[in-house]
Amino acid sequence: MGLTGAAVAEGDKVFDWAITKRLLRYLAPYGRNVRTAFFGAFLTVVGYIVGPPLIGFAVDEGILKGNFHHVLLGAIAYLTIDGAAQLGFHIQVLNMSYAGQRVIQKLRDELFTHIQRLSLSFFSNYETGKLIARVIGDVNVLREAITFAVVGAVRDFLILVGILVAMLFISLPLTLIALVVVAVVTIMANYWRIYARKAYNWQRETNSANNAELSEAFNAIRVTQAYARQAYNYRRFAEQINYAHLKSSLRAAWVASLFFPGIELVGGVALGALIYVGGSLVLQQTISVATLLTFVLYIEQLFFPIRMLAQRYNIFQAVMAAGGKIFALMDTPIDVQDAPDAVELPLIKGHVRFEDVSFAYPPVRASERHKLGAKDGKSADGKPSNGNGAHSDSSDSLSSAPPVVLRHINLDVPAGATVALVGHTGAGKTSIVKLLSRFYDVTEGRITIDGYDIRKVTQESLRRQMGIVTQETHLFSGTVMDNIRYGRLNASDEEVVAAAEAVGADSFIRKLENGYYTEVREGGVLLSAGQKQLVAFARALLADPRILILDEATSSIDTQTEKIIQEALRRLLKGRTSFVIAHRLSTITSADIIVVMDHGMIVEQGTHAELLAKGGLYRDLYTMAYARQLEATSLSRSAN
Amino acid sequence: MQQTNDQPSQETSKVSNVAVWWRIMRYLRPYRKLAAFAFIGLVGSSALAVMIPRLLRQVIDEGITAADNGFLALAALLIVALGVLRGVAGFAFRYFGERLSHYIAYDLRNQLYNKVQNLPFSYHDKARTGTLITVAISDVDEVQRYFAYGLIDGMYTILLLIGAAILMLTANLPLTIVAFLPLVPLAFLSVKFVGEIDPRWRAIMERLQKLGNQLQESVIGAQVVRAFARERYEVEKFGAQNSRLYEEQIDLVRRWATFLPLSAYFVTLSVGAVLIVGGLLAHTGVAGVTVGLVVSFNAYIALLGQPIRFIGFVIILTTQAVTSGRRIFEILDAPSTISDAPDAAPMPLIKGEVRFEDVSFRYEPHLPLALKNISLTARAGEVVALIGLTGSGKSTLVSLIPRFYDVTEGRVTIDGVDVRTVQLDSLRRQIGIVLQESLLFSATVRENIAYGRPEASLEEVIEAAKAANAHDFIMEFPEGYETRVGERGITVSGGQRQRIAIARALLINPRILILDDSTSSVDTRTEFLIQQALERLMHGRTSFIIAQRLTTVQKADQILVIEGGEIVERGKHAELLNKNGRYAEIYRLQLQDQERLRREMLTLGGLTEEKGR
Repeated sequence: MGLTGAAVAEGDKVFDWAITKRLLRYLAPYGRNVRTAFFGAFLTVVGYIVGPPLIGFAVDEGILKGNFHHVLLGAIAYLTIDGAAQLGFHIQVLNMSYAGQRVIQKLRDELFTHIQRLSLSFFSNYETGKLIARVIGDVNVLREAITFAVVGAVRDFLILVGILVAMLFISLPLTLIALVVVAVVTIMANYWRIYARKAYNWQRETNSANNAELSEAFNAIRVTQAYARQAYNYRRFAEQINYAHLKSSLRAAWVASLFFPGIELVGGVALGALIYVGGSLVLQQTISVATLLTFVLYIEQLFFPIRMLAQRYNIFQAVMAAGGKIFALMDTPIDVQDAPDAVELPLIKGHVRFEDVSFAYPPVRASERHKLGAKDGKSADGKPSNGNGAHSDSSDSLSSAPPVVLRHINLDVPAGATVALVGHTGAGKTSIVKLLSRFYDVTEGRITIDGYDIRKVTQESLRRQMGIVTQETHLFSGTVMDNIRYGRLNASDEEVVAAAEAVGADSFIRKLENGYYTEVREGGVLLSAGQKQLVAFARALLADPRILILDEATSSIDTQTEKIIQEALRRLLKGRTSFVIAHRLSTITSADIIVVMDHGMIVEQGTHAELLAKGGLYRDLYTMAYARQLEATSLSRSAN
Repeated sequence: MQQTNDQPSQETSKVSNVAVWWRIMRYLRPYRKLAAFAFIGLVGSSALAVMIPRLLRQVIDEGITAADNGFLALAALLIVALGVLRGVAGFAFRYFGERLSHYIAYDLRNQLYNKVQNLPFSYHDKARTGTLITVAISDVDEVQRYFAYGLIDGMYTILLLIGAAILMLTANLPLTIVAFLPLVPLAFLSVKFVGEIDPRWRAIMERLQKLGNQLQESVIGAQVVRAFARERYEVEKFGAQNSRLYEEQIDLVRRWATFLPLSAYFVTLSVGAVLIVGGLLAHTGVAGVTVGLVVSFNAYIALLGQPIRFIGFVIILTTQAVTSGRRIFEILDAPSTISDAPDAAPMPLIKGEVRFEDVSFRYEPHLPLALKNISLTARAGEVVALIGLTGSGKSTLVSLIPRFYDVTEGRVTIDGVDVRTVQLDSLRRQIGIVLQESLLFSATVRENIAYGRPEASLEEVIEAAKAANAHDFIMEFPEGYETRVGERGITVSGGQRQRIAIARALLINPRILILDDSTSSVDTRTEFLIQQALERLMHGRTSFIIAQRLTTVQKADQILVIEGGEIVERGKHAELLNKNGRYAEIYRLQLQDQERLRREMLTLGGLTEEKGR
């Protein structure tokens, strides 16, 4: 079970009151199940303790002394008591697994819900793989613990103590032998546990290295063959990576092979000692044959709970570690929250105002980053890294105060107008649209839509009226139809097709293998960048938002698709307030307002003609765009 | 189990399960010694195990009942000795058994790795990489588990059963029958139980995987989820899967919670039955039925109970090993259609004349021709630009030069040598390829650049990086050339990636170069740096370029316009433009337009990086 194999370290706590208390709170609604489970466990304990003397009785009083009634009595009593014990076990597992499963279901749902509410900046600091480890792996650790370990540990302990107490009542000298056995096995199991953990952790490491290499190598076959690296790669795999895995596995095999034979060995010695001492006592008539037999059976039963307790020690360590990580994630504060008195944003017209807005990305505390298993070398503000600056801005922004990315932005956009945002990377274009969609809250000032401060309305009612098309189109696994319908879940098939038609996506979709019902696998591998964009447009059009935010993609698209996209854009922007991070000249020139940004400030604002006439930064950019173009000369001359 | 649920594919599916099993067993061959040790341990351990109850009987009947103190001491010593020996033997079979299972897994993985690496492009076009990875990871694990547990435990159970049965039968026939009466149905119960839980367990594992995938999707697409206010929808979708998981888990646990106590009770029944019948026999004075006999029978039952309870797992491990083995062998048996001819000589140092002589090519026998009657000659050092729509055959054409595929008709020669007659490695080492998507390995920058020549010195790597205009940004990485990139390393931008790929190609100093110049847009400065690096790379080498940039096309010695797998026009820029044919049309419609758009986006989009800092 690869998903549940929890790695534990020696230093991990076996018990943490805070975590335990929180887990118990989840278990509280199932109090009845827990009590029933304990009752079941109690039956099992009784069976374990009473069974052996009953067999002893049947053999000694019955067979040896020739009294068949006693045989029958002992045997039937044993069958009954063991039946009850097994039934008890059944009850215990059933009840605890019911409770455990419920708790786990709830924890998973809560975690997922919480993750859905976390702000976007969180995801750039927390690896997706780690999130999955929390929700799937760590929660599974808890499942096993609740289902088996909690009641099981109590039961095992009771069996151990119960048998020892019963022994004490029956024979003191033989009990001493048993105590020695318990001590030896406990010490052995404990040493073995520590020893084994190192070996298993090592094996786990080499195993994941092996898997990573296999996955990478198989994915890179074409490059490998192009560079004729097969022989070298093979040698590296066989002599290093896979070999290390072999070594660690052999080590783990050694450790694993020690345990059971070790117990068999101790068992043999204990049995010998018992036979000799016990036999002598029988001969001296100090104890009965029944007593000796009972002890022989008891000794064998002692090994089981000791072994289980040793195992459970590890499980509890894993539980505390997993619980700690789960609750830390659950306690991650949600940056953007609905205000307690948030109202539903009514149907808007789309008049957007930025009033003296300043913004700095929320700081991420170094300690928190560490606790959450933050990624190294990724920028803290969640910006997609591009260009040469990708690395240099990543390390310094961790602990120091985050820089202000927007300063005193004032902007008034009448309903239905198209705003083109223009400026260099890092000028603040992306921040503006992120604030408007309320992925972050402003640091100063306010943003209003039709006069409503966007912090005072519910996020859902705000975003329902807003469409956002990002540069990179994310497709969910499902069909093309599903992906477009994501914009409006209750849209009919016809409406979906109509939206696709309106953006010019219909023709390529129909050419796909199964048309609208073609599955796009994770990441949408089937579709080209241009096609994905068209799907995103259809999605946004179907949602029919009042305000549209669009980050134009810059990846190169063939001319035909480019023409379709420009036409689609025109339809998409028509009649709604639109904010476009614009790269296409056609988009920019036809915008109602062009906002030129630099260093987090608006430096120029106006229509294309106004800005050209003004002769500022915009004109510089514009003329640069056309400097090398023959057709451009006439245009810029006329503008002058 | 004659049928498996797996999609039977090609040859291997016709092979019987027994044949597959034998083939798996053949992997034991190099480890005969280990196998022998394990087997000796196995026989020893089971023999010793079945002797202990017998000894117990003698202790009770001859030592205690007959009050022989000396015998008691001897027997006790014997029991201790047996216990110790059993421990040693038990260790031997477990240890050696597991050891050889890991060796076999190691061998299997090496074989798979080597095989997959060398399978031709045509195989990888059809195969799913994910499946190949799963086979190399999970299916090999299944086979390993079979050798470590299925085979060993199965044999141990059988040996134990035989030994115990013989000793029990020789001791008392009726009591043996009574003891086995509940144990036989127990074996069947076990097999049935495992048959039921195994698919359910796998379903749960799949469900967990699905939950993980959904989580991943919602995280990667978090912005879209937020943008359309679909959080609640996602939560509901997850909740539905989660509650199905709950039901599946409960169903599975209920089966476990029934099987475990029920199977244990079958063992109890056996003990009880032996007590009662033994008591009855003793009571009626049947010869040989003593207290010792009854106790020893109970000890036998205790010994056999566990293995019989879990016999179903042994069987499922076997059937799974066969299923997995089948999948493994399917890959290992895949034909390597592109390999060195038996008399292949190393490719001599290439000067760079590339000729296609009436080449036609189809990917699969049933598919139409992807290339038709291609003839061309590229003289050493020439730049050949290929233009045409997506799917016209440009990539197919260039992939025939390093012999990623074999031509269907005609031949491809380099310096007059047919590429099929020389050793693949010697051919490909002299050809540099820069693909559109530059793949980086999760390794250091240095290792990534030296991918084609791992033995290259750091100086050489740096030299290549400098020529590729990559040195400066590499030096800004925290550990310079030793910085890890890729999945677990730092993030590298598209433009940086591309320059690392160019450095990689430069380092092998190829005589022939194949490159895809359709770069995703980068800022003006990076664009310039890449262009400069590419020009350095192309200098003095025969270059085939799948061209998107006007500048590249204009400078080419030959332009090939490809349409529907055919060369429809060829010549230089000026010639073709004058001709006013297909090229002129494409030039006007696409190249010019695209160039204009690219310039616009670069400037007005403002991706200029110096200012972006």
